[in-house]
Amino acid sequence: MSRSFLSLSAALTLCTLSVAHAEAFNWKAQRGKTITVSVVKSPWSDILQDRLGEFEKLSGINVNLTVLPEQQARQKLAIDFASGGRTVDVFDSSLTVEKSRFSQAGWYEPLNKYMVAGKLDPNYRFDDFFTSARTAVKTSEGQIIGLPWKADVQVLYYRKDLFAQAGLKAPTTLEELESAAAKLHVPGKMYGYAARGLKNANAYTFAFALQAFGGKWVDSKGNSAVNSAQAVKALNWYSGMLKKYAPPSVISYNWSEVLGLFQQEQLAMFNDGIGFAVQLEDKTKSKVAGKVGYAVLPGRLAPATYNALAMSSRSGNKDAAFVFMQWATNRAFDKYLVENGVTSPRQSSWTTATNKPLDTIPWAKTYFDALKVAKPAFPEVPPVQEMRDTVGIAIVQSIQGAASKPALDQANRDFQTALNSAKQ
Amino acid sequence: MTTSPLPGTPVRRPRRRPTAPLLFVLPALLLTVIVIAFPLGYTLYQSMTNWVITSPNPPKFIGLANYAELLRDQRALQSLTRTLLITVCSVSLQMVLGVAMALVMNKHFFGRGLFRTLALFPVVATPVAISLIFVTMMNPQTGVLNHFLTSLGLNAQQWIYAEKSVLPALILVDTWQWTPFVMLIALAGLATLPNEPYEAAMIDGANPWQTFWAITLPMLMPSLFVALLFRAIDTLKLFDTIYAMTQGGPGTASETINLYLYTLSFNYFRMGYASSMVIALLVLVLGITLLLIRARKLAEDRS
Repeated sequence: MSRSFLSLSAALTLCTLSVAHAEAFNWKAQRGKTITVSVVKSPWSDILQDRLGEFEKLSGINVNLTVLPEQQARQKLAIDFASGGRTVDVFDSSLTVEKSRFSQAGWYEPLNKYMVAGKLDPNYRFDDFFTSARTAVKTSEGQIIGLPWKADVQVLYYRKDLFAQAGLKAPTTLEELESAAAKLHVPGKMYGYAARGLKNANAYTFAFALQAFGGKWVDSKGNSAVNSAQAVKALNWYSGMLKKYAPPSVISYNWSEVLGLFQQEQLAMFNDGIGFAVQLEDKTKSKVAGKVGYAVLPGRLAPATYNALAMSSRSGNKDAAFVFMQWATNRAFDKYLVENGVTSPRQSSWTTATNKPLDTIPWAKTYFDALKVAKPAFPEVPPVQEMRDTVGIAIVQSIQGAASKPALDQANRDFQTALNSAKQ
Repeated sequence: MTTSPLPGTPVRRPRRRPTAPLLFVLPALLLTVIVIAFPLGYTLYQSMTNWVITSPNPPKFIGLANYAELLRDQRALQSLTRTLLITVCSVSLQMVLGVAMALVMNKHFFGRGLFRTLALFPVVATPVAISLIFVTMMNPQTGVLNHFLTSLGLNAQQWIYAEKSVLPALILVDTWQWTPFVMLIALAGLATLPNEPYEAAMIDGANPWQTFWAITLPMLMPSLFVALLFRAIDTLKLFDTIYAMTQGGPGTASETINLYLYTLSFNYFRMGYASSMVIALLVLVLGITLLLIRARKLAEDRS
């Protein structure tokens, strides 16, 4: 009797307390805890590492930060989770690759119950994230499985100076893109157009061509659609462009090689994620700084990929983990990210009157415009990696001169097999 | 009827089963079970399940379905062909070149010690380091190999960047790295050869070529066989060089069984299926090893 009365009064006190202190969020509520955070090495993780001390001071929570290259981080997480490990509390998740697979496996902790008064800083403003980013972190059942920190969209990078000399404007159709490539292409000296050719990586830049021809990776029933008539046309166009205007070894090019070629002033145009703009505008490293034009891709298309900080469903320190997650994605921190070149998905970071990054960052407007029309680059199915591999092989074959249709037929069979086995 | 044993025939005694020898064997037996038999058995079991790491459902026993899929899997069959092709080509090249190098290094000439030491450098270097050096040298635009070729008036090559040339390029790297190993074993073999047959050959007036075919090579065979066995097993399992240089590309043009296996398990997380491939690879390596040993026995019996 007295015990239940006590707990009732305690609950009531807590309620009034949380109402009373709604404005001042208690960052110290979880002090003394220790959490493990696993992130992929990137400019973002560097900033996170630099400012981690501020968080530990603010919250009194100790953070073990593990920074690994993408491939290793992904393997380590999967094996750790599959073996029932509890070593990771918070992890950096590439939604493009992992969302469907990890959701199916139940490795994400749904965050809805943490995003309530008392647990979430009232200044956090989840609705401040771009709509596409908010969609990306939600499952079809409406569960939020992570807090977004990166939204990368594909744009067209071109050499403003060369375009001006040739009297060209940023292309708005595929035909204009191709004729610009043809006009600026000087074999051996200046390549007209390039994109990723390397198996698996190439599927990302091919996603643009696929969208441009109205193709889809999977149909409405969730079956493979990579050998549709539109996809075949898209591949013909993509491999044709690379055969005609890209270096002969393009089938081994990942983004770094394409970027290198552009930086060495040997490439007129390429499409890839906007995240590389920072490196291109860095005067200490890039010869093309100040000469780069940015445009939304022809057809107003923008294949997008998203990253989020997610919580492991096996974490033993969930409340502390959530304190960290909201700190690392809050508005102040996010603004700092934008100022340092990370393409953050928070609207406020781009429009704050104090620093007006839209005017000072040459690619900001294009990024903003592209986000408005952004569509996910890949479908939400578990075997995304298998799909990228099988279609990637077809792309390589097509660039090397094989017919697109049979190559994509084979990719379609392999992808369908992977889709079927994922349903088991 | 009772007959006393004939004198000289051994007397049959009732068999005893001593336990002491068994006890002595036990630690080794246990170790074998823990280190070899258990993992092998476990893999064998896994190969008959549909275990996918990221699947929410527990693995189901599916019998031989994975093996049936393996037989239909074009990518698996192609990677197997590539594995065998690389093995046959690089091991034969290494054997021929290694023996040739050993014959040269066996002669007395100035600075022989230095050359022998230098020749061993590729064997002791880390495969990944070697791979990175070759990737740089094989770059079609900036690599030193194409610079050589074009300055000699030959055509520039795409090396590891084209489907046609990637396997020869990888065989070249493997051969460069492992020929000295064959040389080392052949040299050790040469050092043990007796002098008398050579003296006899000299008296008979055999030329160096005849001496080599009739005396050196047959006597060297046992050592060469060891080199062949080591190299064949190693090349069948080749992974690091290919992974570091091409990751199986372009496309899947250099994807060997090992690389496909790695992709299946650590990119696709299909552990059950990957296990069936591990077992298949094990049977293959074991089979080839047994064949080689048998071939050697036959050759010995014939001579």
